[in-house]
Amino acid sequence: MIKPLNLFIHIIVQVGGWAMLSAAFLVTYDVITRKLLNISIAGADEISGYVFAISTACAYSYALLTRANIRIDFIYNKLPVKIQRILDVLGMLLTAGFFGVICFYAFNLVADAIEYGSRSITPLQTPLAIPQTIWFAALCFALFTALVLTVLSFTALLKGDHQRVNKLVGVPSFDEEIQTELHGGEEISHSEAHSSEKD
Amino acid sequence: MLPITLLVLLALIGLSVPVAAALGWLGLIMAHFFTRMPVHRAIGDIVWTNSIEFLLVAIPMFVMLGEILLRSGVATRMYDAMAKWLSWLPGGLMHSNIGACALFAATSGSSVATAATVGTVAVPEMHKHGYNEPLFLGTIAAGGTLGILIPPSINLIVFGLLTNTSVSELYLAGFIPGILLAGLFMGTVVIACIYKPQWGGEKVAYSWSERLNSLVHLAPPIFIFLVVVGSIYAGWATPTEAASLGVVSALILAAFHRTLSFNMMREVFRGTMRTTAIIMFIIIAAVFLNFVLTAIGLTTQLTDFIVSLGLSPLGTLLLIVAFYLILGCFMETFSMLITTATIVTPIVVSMGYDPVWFGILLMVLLETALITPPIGINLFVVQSIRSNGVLKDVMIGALPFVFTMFAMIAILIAYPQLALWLPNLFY
Repeated sequence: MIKPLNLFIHIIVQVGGWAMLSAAFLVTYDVITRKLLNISIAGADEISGYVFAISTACAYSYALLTRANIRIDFIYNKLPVKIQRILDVLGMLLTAGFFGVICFYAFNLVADAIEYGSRSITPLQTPLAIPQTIWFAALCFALFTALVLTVLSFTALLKGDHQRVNKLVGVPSFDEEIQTELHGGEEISHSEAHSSEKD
Repeated sequence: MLPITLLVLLALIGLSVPVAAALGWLGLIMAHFFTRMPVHRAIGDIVWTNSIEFLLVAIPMFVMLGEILLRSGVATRMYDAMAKWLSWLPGGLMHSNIGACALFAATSGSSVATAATVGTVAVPEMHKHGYNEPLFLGTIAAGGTLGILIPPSINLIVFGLLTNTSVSELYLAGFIPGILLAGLFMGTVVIACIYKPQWGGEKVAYSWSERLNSLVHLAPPIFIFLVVVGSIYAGWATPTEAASLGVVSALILAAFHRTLSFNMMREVFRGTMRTTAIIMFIIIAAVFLNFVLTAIGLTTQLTDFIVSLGLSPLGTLLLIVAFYLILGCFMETFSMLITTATIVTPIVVSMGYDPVWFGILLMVLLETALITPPIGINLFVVQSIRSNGVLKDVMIGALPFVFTMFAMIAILIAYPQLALWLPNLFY
């Protein structure tokens, strides 16, 4: 379950990254032509906004998978391991729940956009159904990732496999965090395993 | 209502629920119990409008800019050049640490990235030249905090968004206090090393030709700074546009240094998307929570409560400063900024203070929080870079700089013009 999920998430993160980079070029082009040639391509800001929304929504899954979301572990660190693991699973459960609420109400928004054919009130007049549907799909995928992690970690918890719970939904140690900061998205041992899948 | 909100928040945070989920659930719980209006239904719309907000597009852009620079070897060469120019001062390389941090901060919006980058280059030098370890490590931890004060700063963008303050003005305002704080850090090192000369390590002499030759390595970060901050100051670009210009410039630099590759970009994208996701998840939860708190009238209640205390504006401000200093010992700074800015800023502004100025003061308070034990992210960053020794060394070494920051806070309160002079000149 986790392996194909992992691979897919790594792919959408790369796609999202290239999309953001393209948006950077688009905006740069807009600034330069506006300043030097006095012509502005309308909507560079709007398009990069959509790109941003969609790629961020894709990236939520990645943050979940790499245990990246910030947790305040001041009290947590002083608790026995068993309780820490229960809190890990609880944290992921509540995260999944919050994503569930977001997706539920985002669905109303998208359904309205499709039903009424809403367009953005900008020169582009983008049919909002298009970016919103992709964005909604990415959000649902984040919810799916959170649910998978909740179920897997809960099963591991029931089996008493604390190490697996920690690997799935625990708090990364600080050394791992720094490696991440210096070497991109994940710990070294992990990324070696991934690179063989991806290349 | 206020005690219950606090209690629920503390419970969720205390249970180490991810901050974003904690803020979101707090919003849902408060909306459920304190209003009959279906405010929670707004969450879909709130998430969408903030997800496409052009101002926030600056966040992935600045993160990506930092990621590219981090991987293009710019930092190592820059540190080397700084060492040649600053190491004659009492305290030697410790000044290079601060200088390199300040310069890196001028291209990066994150304090952790700044401390980690400079620390990785600097720590091997510490052993080579026999410096006093705690103080040396302290300069990196403290210098790294400049990342959120010297523009471009991601935290200032978030502050601007949450409080409806102009990010361009905030960027102008952060410049002089940032330089001043770097100067005060250096002054602290000089004083410490005059008092105990043996802390300063062995002197390494450089010739003027070596110095002049090294200048070329300072060019890349200064170039990026000029492109990003210069285009904002010149009025050519909004912060987001400037960040995009920065990304493109950094790519060109990386290509020039022959470090650009698909492998590198893959790491850049991973890092960028990960950080952006963390930040945005918290932001949408916080914006939703603010919406709920305003809808149920809690924000007004809190402001009324503070006003009813009948403190003078300065008294209130000092109370707020104390609140942040204490909270900063225990809370992670970004979460602290997001949970408090929207509530505290209106109070401060209603007392007649300038929101731009308060944004800068708040950054210095957050910087202090980054190096105050027991929870100080930069302390952990620096500790994890060195291979041996205990965390206590770093905490002790950072302590003098905590007092320097207290001085900076006092100076900012006494002379608000330090922050406001530049933005007033332009706007």
